[in-house]
Amino acid sequence: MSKQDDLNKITKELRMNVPDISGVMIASDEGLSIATDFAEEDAVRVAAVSAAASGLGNRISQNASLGEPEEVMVKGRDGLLLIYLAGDNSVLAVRAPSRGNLGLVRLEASSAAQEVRKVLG
Amino acid sequence: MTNEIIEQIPECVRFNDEDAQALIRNKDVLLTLEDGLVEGFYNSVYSYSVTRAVFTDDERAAREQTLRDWYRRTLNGPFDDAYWQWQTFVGLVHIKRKVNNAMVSGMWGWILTYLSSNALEHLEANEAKAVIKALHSLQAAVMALISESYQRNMFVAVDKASGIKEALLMRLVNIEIDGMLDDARANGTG
Ligand code: HEM
Repeated sequence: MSKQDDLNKITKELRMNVPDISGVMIASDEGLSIATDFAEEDAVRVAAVSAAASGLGNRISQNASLGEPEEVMVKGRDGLLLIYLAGDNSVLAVRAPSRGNLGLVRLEASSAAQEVRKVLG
Repeated sequence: MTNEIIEQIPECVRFNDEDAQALIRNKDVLLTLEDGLVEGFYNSVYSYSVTRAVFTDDERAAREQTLRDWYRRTLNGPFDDAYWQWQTFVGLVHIKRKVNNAMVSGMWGWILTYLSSNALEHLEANEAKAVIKALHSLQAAVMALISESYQRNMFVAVDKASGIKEALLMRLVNIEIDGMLDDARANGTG
């Protein structure tokens, strides 16, 4: 299986395991979409802003002495986006409803980020 | 960073040793233009409210002296690493004082016109041609250093402050530019 197949599988399994999740994005830290099930018209921007939010999250963690960054969350009235570092040069972002089972979303998304890390290093 | 920027300019049009020699060889004549250069330059920037606003009330004499020193150092050579690094530094000094690239580029236009027309008047045709070519290549190199170094320093600063790397920032910019281009095409302006 190619790396791309592995990443597509992680994306698919995450959606299957947590039906609340309505979009998964694996992006490079340069903001390029690598694997995603976001609609094509949204994917370009979601990839770029996810990478940007992750970079900013890192800086905030450093400057406010928060330790290793684990997660960046953006919560809107209609949903939230959770962003995780997924390897040295990539991020994983998931979109979920703001009133869903957040515990499960977090658990599965952070473990998917670990899987991505294994694939991409 | 300085060399890397200069090396973006095609070698065949880059400021080269021949250009340096043309300026140095004709420096006696070019130095006679110094007073006119300094006066014309500062008359222009002081006569326009936007550029005038850059200066504090008692600054003109000091500024005239810095332009004089720059002109002399340029005509004396050498065009070594220290010279190009200084041009980059001068660019940053300007930015700190809110002298933007449009102002500098505009005044370079004036300098080129002033020196070229005088070169044609006071030098033999082939020498005048060589000097004019040298001045144009010099201006291109200096503007390249000023604009690129500013952009690169900005990328470093944004990364430091926000964690957003150059490649990502360029991507965000390009996404917006794509949108603007689409709009322009849809409006028939592109
Ligand atoms: C061809 C264009 C120009 C050249 C070659 C030039 C050259 C210089 C040089 C050599 C310095 C001294 C830098 C240092 O070593 O500290 C300087 C400073 C300065 N220039 Fe220019 N300049 C140009 C255009 C302009 C324009 C268009 C303005 C304003 C409208 C301007 C305003 C200033 C000011 C305010 C400073 C003082 C900066 C400081 O030390 O606070 N310059 N310039």
